[in-house]
Amino acid sequence: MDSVQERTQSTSALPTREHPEPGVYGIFDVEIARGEYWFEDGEYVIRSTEFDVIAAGPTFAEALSNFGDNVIAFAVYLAELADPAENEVEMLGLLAPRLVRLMRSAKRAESRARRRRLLGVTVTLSRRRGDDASRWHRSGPHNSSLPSLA
Amino acid sequence: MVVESSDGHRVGVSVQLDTHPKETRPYALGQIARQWCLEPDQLTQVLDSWGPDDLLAHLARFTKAELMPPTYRQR
Repeated sequence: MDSVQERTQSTSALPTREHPEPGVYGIFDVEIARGEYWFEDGEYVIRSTEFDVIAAGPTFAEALSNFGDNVIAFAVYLAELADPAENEVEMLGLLAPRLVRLMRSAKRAESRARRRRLLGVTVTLSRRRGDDASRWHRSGPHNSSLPSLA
Repeated sequence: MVVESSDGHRVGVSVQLDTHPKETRPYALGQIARQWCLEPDQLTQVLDSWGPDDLLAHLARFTKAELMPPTYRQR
């Protein structure tokens, strides 16, 4: 997967809502949600095709960060439902194992960081710091226009 | 909200509310329209004139698969 870094690109070359670009959102090496992204009204929009989750931001990195927050919020929402419907149980069944894998990856990353004695540079799940672990992996045929991946 | 779909399943339909951005964005309205199985240009009228029962009755016309996100429909 690619790392999240900003790259200047003409917005005219970006996917539109009518023709979004498919991809996979992940944190560390864990696939969290399949989705698609496009550029609309001055914002990058990322929408899950598996869950009822959408996010946007003025940069792709911010949209990705917001998307990650919203996916986790959606999982919490599903988990806290007192009387979930069939589809909500199914979606939680799809999402929960991925989040468990994510927690394991985060734990491994923290262990590695500790071993390397990177004091003061903690690897965390926080996506608002410079050591962002979020990833967007292009999955469609139109993979030349991703705006913010290096 | 929870609705019984036209094929007899109990289906939850959620709406994601964001405090960002402060102004309503087209993508946000488009997402609500998609989840409620509406054309985007119908949404304003629905928000203005429909009550909860109207929306539930509308959603009950669709199958469970139609009320789910795209990838899930293919499973």
